[in-house]
Amino acid sequence: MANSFAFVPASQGPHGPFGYGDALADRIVTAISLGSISVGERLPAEIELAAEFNVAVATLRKSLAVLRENGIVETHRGRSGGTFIVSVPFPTDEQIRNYLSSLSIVQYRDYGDEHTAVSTGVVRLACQRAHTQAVAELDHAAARMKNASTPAECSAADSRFNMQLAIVSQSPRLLRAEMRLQSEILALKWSPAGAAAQISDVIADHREVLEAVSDRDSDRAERAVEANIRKTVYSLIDVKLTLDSNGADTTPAR
Amino acid sequence: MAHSQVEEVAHGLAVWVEDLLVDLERLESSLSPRLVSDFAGDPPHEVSSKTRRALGRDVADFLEEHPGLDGAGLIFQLSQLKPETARIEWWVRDEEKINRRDFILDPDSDRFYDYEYLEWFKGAFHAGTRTVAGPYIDHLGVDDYLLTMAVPCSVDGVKVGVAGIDILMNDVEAELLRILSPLSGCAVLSRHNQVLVGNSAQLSTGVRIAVMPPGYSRIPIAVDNVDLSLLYPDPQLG
Repeated sequence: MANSFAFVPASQGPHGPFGYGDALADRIVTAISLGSISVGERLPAEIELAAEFNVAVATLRKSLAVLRENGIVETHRGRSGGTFIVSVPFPTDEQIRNYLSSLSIVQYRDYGDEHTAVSTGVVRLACQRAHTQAVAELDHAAARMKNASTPAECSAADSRFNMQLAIVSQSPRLLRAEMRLQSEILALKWSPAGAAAQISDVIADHREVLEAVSDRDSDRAERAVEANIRKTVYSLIDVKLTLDSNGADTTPAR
Repeated sequence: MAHSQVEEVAHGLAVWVEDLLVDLERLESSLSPRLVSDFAGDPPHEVSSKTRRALGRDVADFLEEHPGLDGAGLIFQLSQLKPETARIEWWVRDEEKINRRDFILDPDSDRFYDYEYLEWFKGAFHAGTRTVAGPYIDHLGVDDYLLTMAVPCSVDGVKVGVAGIDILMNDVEAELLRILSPLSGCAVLSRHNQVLVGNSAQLSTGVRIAVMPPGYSRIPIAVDNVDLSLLYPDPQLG
């Protein structure tokens, strides 16, 4: 729910939650797992990233090498060159709780507003532009949810369906916007410490959207998409308020 | 606009598509014999590094000769290949160079490139016909907005996959606008009645024509086994 790495707790010591034995590597992975940047995306240039984390470029390079060894990032040359995120570890419950309580209700609401604006736009275009082959591909993407069981697998399958919807909309820009928004919410939505989404509910939510798109009923599709986002955002605000009233420890883990 | 002019433009479009498909079929017939020894016996098979180098040289030459194409190569049915070494034999233009491109073919990966369900593979492999697919966003593939053409690929008479070429939609647009230029307000439609390229704002790429707009007619773009059409304002309809 933040646009940069800035929200990531600054001092996690040498033994951060992912245990890479490199504090900076841990911070970067925390940011990735909480959705600052999504799988397939390119990391900012080393100079920018070093400035963001307030470290020397040499220090950053060392941490990136740790991430490369652990299969979190890959570096390519050429047209599509740069350092890319290839896998995202699912955050721990503690990371989720710390993150949720660090956000304000305004931030959740504003996230929900943007996600609703983008996703209802995506689904409206999908209804106008979906042909039979596109509907078949969307149906195929929805089916992946049935084989998912862990929160990480559910999150990946959920992501796949929403990406496919954006693909059906035929807009590369909206696809990118949807990817960014999904990566911000998915771990929070599926974590048992977050909105703890249930597979059967989400399968039904996807089914409703799929049927609306295949009937080209954009009113129904937009209503469904809006309700799905609202459900998650409301649930996250509830979790945040519960954490606050229980006096959760919002300081970074030691 | 005179009907003869519409027919002339439709012919120009047919020639553009046909030439690309014929060249792609030639590419397939030059590449597939290189697989004979690797693909002898029952699947699963493995493309050897020697074969891959030979394929790479042929595809690089092909891409040099076709500067309008983004990528080209062979894509096999996944079950033809040993899972641990399964790859798509695909090369893309990388600025001045031609480079091999890797895709994630592990079905358990979050980023699995699930191409057997995509239109170009279904058409060229399962239906076994020349296929023009798109426009589409090849999200987990080359991650661009594309038109893909594909033809069946067989080794020793056994269907193993497809040969394909990708053209970026920006480049398809430049080519087709030039061919469409004698007409105005018209569009090339895919077999799903989706606009490939049109020369009016209403008929822009990706728009699906659910019902024929009033005052418009369409004629087929005559390419064997490919269902494309040209939508144009018809003065005879008033």
